[in-house]
Amino acid sequence: MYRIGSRRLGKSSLLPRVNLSAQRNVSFKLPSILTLENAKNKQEGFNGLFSASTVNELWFKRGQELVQGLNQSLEQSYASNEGVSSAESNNLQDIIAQTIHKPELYGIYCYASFLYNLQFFLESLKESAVSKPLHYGQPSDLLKTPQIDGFGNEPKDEKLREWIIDSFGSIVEFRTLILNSAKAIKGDGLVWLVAESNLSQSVLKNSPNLADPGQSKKPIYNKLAVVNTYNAGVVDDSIRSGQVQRLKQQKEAKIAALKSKQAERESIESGETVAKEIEELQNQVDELTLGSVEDAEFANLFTDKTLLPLLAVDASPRNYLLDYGVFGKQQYLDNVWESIDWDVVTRRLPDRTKQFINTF
Amino acid sequence: MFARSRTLLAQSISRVSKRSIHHVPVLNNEKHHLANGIEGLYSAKGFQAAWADYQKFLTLNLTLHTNGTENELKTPYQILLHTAKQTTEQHIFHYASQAHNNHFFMEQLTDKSEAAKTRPSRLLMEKLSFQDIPDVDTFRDRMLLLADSSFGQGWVFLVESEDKALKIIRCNNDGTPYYYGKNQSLDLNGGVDEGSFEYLNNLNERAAKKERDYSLPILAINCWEHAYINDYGVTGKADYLTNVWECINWDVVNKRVFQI
Amino acid sequence: MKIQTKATTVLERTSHYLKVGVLKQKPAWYDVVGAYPPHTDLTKKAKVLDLQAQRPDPYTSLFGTRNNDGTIKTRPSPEDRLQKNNSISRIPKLEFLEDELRDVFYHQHPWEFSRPKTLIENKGDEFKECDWSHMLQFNKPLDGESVVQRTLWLLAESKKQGKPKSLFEAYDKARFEFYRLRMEEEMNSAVSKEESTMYGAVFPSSNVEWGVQKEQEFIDVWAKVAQDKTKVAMANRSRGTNTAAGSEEDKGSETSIWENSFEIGGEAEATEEKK
Repeated sequence: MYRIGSRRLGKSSLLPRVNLSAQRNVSFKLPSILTLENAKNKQEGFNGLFSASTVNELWFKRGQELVQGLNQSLEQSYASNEGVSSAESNNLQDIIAQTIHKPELYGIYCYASFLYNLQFFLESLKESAVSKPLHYGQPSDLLKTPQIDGFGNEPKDEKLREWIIDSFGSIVEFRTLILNSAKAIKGDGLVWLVAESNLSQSVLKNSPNLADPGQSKKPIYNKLAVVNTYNAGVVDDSIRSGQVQRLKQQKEAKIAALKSKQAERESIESGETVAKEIEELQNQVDELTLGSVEDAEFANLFTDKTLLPLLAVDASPRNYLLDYGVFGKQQYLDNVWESIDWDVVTRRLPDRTKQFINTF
Repeated sequence: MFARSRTLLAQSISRVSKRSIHHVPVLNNEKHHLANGIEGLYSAKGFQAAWADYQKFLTLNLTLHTNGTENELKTPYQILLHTAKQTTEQHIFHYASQAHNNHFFMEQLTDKSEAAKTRPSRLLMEKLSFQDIPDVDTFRDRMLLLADSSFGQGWVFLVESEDKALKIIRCNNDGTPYYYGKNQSLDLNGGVDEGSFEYLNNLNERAAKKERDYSLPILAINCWEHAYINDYGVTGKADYLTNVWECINWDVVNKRVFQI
Repeated sequence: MKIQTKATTVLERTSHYLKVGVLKQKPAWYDVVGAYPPHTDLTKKAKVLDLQAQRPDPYTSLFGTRNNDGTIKTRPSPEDRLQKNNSISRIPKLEFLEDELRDVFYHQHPWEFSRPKTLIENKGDEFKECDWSHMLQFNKPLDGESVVQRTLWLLAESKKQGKPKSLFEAYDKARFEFYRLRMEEEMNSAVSKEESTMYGAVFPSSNVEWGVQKEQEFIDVWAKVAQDKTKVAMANRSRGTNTAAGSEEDKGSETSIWENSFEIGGEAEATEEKK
């Protein structure tokens, strides 16, 4: 996003934002979301949540900026013959999965992920039936206790309700959890409702016949969970998890290789037994020593389970600053709850398996 | 810097004797800016949102979360240092760090016409030249490109490190320039590359050794949406950054550089 | 040991000590007090003043009553003059609804006590700055006292509105508001930590880590003690098969292995001394 022009070249030479994507066969366009198209042209905007100008800012201007940035950086990487192959690059999720592990394609990844997250959030909203003016936050709003009951727009679908109640206890608890998580995000970020796979991807891959040979290797879902992502984070842990662990292992392997080389050299020069003994001592596992907290966290993380996103709530400041002010975040989140389109969420629901296999 | 820290100290001493809530500090020329905005940068409404409202939000939250605790009487600067290493007090750190950074940032801004009369001191430019920054324009490009090219909320700081060398760092979100463990210069939300991994390892080692950090900020650029969304819109970051540079009061910045 | 408040039991206790052997010699006062034991408990206790239960003022009832023999009583007899209202000299105990609420709240939430509380006030009238139409206050941390004050406000307010709430309802409402705010704060803290970690923040040690370290210390001591015990047990077993009588070592193991390890705590010399 290098848009600041160098002053020595004069103001007029701010990098021209040319749409280079014309040269490529696939180029992204801003997806059309009908509710937003309507809201943009109405006087009252997106009923019960955003004003018309905010809709324009959030989706039509920012979305366009993201699309443009994505096309431009895709074009650059295409021209330099690395990274994303054009054949596969017409799906945002594909692009994210392809670029996440390539630091040189960080820009593409960010644009794609931002766009995907934003679209996912906005698509799960519907206008409320009655139009009411948006309340601009005041300092005294900080002291208000958030409402515990007396909210509307509960999910109607029986299957979804049951699933939520089984996972979180009740609708109230679920609402509190998701709104509290959103309120606690300080910078850019989203809260997601996800369906969590029973088994991690590695288990699925490594055991061809878990229960019976005919069972598919697709993930099966049993529980719902609430997850936060920040900046351009992706919700699906199966792509991302274990990165640090992997890097650590790589590093350890490298060090071990170096050490063994050194040991070989030393063993030629002097008695080989001493060095070997020391190494064996180091390798002994001390069963009475607790591991580090990092290890424990890793063991209890989502590891590489597939998380299927069902609903996203964007908590980034830009969403509420214009209409609600800095003091109005709680009000904004309450309004988001009222605007969630549960039909969309229900449509995204995977098949649920009641059978619970307690292996990791 | 020293003059500033002395007044901070004086404030904290005078407040020790009395319990009170955290207040929004008063800026130079604040009345003028509240009425007219900052010429060439903010409208009156924009200034109200970026400074008065946001700072009030931060200090009130700071009050709510430090009430009746040891942090009650401390300045945001003291609180951020005090909570930086506490894993359960990171929300308090956020409000303190943001309050301090925002104050630090606003202190160095003035009307465009006023700002044009000031320029970076020779000492500052001399120090920058050691960092391969020969002139003001290169300096501007380095700072603003870093600010514009990163995603999400954050800060860009010119920092004077322990050996009095200058460097430019990006602090994501509520990161602080005062402590390496909370610089927050990485973005681990996507893929983690080997460089960031090594950087993290290095930080962990330094933290384990209880290494101290004596860095002090010289210049701050605010990249939070709170600072520009009202006047420039969601997509107006580039224009905002260009204008911020025109409104820096270098007299304030020059004084922050260490002088013998 | 329980704090002994009763002077009356001093004799009983001392004789017990003498019998057991805690005291070797009789104290000088022992015989005297044995001969003339104290018969009054002199400690002053707060008394709940129950005005109904008090005997009526004898002035109105006593005089003017006609005795059986036709005479009229004109002055109190020595028996009448006797002070029968013993409790009159005691300080009355003040009772407030707030205290009862505090009692209930802290009974239900004992961990609230573990939060540090500042007792310093500027003028002592800070409560005047609080407005209990909401739970959170700028001048006061959120704690049990907030719940109490908010309950009272809710009670008064509901009366004003003409829809009186019961104490139980008001307390419950305040309590749930309190939970809601605590949850929010907890989430705020957890998410802030996660968020900053995702931007590369590094913490030298976490609270959990500290706990793990403490646990490890105990495990280390336990491992040492367990090793010693195992050695003794093994020796016993082998000797038991030989001589069939090895009860000497059992004396050492009257205390459990856990007691041992906690006793030792950080210092390992204790084990050395025992040996």
